[in-house]
Amino acid sequence: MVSKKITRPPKTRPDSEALQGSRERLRTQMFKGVAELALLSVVQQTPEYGLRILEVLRDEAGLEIAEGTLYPLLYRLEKRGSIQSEWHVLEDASHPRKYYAITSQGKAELKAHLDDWQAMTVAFNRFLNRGKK
Amino acid sequence: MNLHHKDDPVTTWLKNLQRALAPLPSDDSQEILAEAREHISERVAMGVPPLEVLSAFGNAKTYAQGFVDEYLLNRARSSRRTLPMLRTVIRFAGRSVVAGFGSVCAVISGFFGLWSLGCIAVKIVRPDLVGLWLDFPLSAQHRYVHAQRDFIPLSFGHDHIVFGFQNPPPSFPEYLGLWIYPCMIGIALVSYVALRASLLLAVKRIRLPTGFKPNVKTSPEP
Repeated sequence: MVSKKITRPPKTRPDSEALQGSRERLRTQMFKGVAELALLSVVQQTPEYGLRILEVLRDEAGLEIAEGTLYPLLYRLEKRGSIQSEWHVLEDASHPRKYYAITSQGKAELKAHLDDWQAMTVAFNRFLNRGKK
Repeated sequence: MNLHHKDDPVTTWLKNLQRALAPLPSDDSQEILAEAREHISERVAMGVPPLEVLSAFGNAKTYAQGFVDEYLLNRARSSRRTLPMLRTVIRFAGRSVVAGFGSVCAVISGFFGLWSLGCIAVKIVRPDLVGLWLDFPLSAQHRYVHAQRDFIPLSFGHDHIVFGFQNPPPSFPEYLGLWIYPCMIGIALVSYVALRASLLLAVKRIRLPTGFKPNVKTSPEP
């Protein structure tokens, strides 16, 4: 009796593709956690409008956030009382812009988020680098 | 590019957005529309093609959903009224485990509440059809011949213990008499409290996704 060896393609994705997918998922989860922190941080010094907030997040924080996710998040923070908005017409702008500013409640939240973030990153970095000396 | 031409994609997108924002208060939807219009105009003025700007916003209905979800959730949380909470929990049931679980609990509690109220109503009209029938001893072979199963079950238990509405009534003794009223009112109240508690807990614990895109620019190592 002649046995015929059948080779089937692997059911799993190639390693590099699986790794990339897993990396993307991890990033998504991590950035979900810091989304509010990043937004509150942008408007903590001076009021900013949506497009400017988007640019700061992209250029300075490296967060590639889409318009479709920024404005609902701003709406949520505003409804929660963390930020407040006001329409302004500035000289260099052809249209009125909606500026967002942090509230006292938002400042307290930002401070709490920052404390948590810093405590967590210090502890976690120490944990990840254990035994590397 | 003229953003106000009736056939251009931006105008169509804004119209769709306006329709999708209908559940929001007028002030909120007008502000969201104005902000989106201003953002699009500015990006187009910077030389970005309109379709590219619109793709960053995504589908108008999906974009509006973020605002509408937030508004409905806030309204349900602040009003604490049963119907808005029930509507909100059902709306989120397919997207949130908490809301799904809350919906199931609410449906079960609601069923018991309506059942008890239905039994009270029947008891007023036909007192012999609602009650608590016990056939002692419980270990004896049962002698009750079941009627055809109800489409909507209004009684619990079979054989030796029957509680609620039963037509025809069992031949063994009924024990509660008029005490069935306080019993049913008690069940209705407990069901209502359970319904509200499950809705309040669900509404409080539903979390909306932030939707951050994880597309981080990777800079070379220093």
